[in-house]
Amino acid sequence: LIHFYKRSKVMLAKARLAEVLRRRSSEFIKLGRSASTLPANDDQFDFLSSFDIKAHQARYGNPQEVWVESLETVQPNFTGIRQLHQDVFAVYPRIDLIHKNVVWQTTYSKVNYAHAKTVREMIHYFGGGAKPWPQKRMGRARHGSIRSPQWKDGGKAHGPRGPKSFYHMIPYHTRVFGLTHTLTVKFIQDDIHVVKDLEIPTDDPDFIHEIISSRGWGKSTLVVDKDDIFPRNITAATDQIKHVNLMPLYGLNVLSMLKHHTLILTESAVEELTKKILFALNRTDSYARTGLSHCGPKPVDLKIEKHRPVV
Amino acid sequence: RMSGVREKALQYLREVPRLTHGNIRNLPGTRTPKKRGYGQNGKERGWGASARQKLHFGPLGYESGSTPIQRKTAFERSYNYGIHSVRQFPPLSLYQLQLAIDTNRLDVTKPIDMAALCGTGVFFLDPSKNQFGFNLSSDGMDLFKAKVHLEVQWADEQAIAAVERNGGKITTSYYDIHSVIAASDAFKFLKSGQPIPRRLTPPGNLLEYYINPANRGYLADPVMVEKEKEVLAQKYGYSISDKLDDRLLSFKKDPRQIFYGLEPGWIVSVQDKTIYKPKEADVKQIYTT
Repeated sequence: LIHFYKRSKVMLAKARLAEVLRRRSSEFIKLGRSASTLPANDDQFDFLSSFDIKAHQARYGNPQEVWVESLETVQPNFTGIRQLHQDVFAVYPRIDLIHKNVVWQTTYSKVNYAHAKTVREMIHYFGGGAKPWPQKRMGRARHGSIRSPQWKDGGKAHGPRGPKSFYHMIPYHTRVFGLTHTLTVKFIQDDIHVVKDLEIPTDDPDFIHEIISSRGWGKSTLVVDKDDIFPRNITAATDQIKHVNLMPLYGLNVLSMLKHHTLILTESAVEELTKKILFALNRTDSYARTGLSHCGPKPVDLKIEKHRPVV
Repeated sequence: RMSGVREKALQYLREVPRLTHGNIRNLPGTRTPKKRGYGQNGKERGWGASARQKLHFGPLGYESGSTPIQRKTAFERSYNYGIHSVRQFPPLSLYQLQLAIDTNRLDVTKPIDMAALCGTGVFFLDPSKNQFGFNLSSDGMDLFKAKVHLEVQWADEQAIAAVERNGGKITTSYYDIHSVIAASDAFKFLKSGQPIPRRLTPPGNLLEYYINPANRGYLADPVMVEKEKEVLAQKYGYSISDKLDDRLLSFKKDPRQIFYGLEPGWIVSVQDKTIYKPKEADVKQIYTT
């Protein structure tokens, strides 16, 4: 009996989980073609860099317009007006798509480590495989081990079994729509402000507090720029303020946009964001891209010998 | 302001409180309660344990749970009997073609063949479903205005007439299944590192179609094809006034060729921007004859 319990089921479950996570998480570690080792400007399959945004100007409906502000002064300071693309900032709002994205963001990295030991595992770790007393003539109930479920300190019959991962991917276009619909909601509720750049005169945190109060921005602010290196002053000023956060464009996500009341976008961020989203909405390799989300990246198979065509 | 459902929805959003993590939800009906077991109504599932309880017999033909013989056996063949062995040519209408040209999906200054059509990302061919190419149908022939150099795998008479009326050129040519695999997803094929195969001649029951000049077959006599053009123009009452540019007319495909500008036997590496060609004479001969 004892040699049968030597195989550790918990360790097996953990190894299985690690393998599953390693295989499935390759999707969000390295998106894209696994055969591509060249930099982006040499990569022949990098379709985003050759995307022509002029072919996708909105031809119907009224363009959305937004003030372009400046952060040089505390007082509101408008330097111009900018037009925003409708497919990014004025779509028919679908709250359920936003909800799907938020649920995905909060649960995809969740692991439930609850693990209740079964009778065999309890015996393996704590003993009790022997019959506690003879079957008959004892005047006591009949038992096979002191670790069965009805006993104190016994195993659990149908308990949680091992670490359980909640990793899953929602489809590519659902994630793209999550961004567009959240941006639409934020824009229409007057929570988006476009700024020329992020140059501020001082690195004093009070300057930021004054700007927020004078301009009527919300309690929490998310500042998004195209690159991930921000000007010195704003970095120093917002460093101590926990509710004003700086984020590069590649980190833009639905949950952050909902958590922060106000969204500040620089003009360069708006341009790059529009280009990337229009590319995502109009790409001709959608079929392959959704397959990538669903199945993960496939290594390029050289089929020279396996699939020799009829000559 | 334009009025519409979208505008109304956005206007509504302006009046409600700010959208946050706490006031969003999924569509009603998304969450369905988890169905649990039968509980104390399990085990016999209503069919009784004793003779007194087993007094109902179920519907006609019921066989105590196993699939009854009248469901297992069918009177007719399945609807798609033999579909795996039938060669399919999914339709491509002239309307779709005109729309793709008008929306800049297709370039009229270049020849349009299977690789170009599948490369748009809106027309699909699945070789695993025995799809051997596109069948140009005449749906939308009155709207068709483009002047194209077109190569499809099947075309009906009116579609041919619609293309030639505008001064275009249409050819029907046969692609065997490996050539379809190559041309229907060109990038995927080029990434796989195979040498470009040569196109095979049509099988027996299709040879007649591609030799016939009335179908503008690629194996037909060009002189007969010109005659058939005139016949068709007279039949449908149009005159061929302006023709394609010389530049476009110069694009000709060998019967063994899949891609314009690439010959069978070559290996193309798009990433390295190089083409590898066979040197040995016998290998060259295999691919070119």
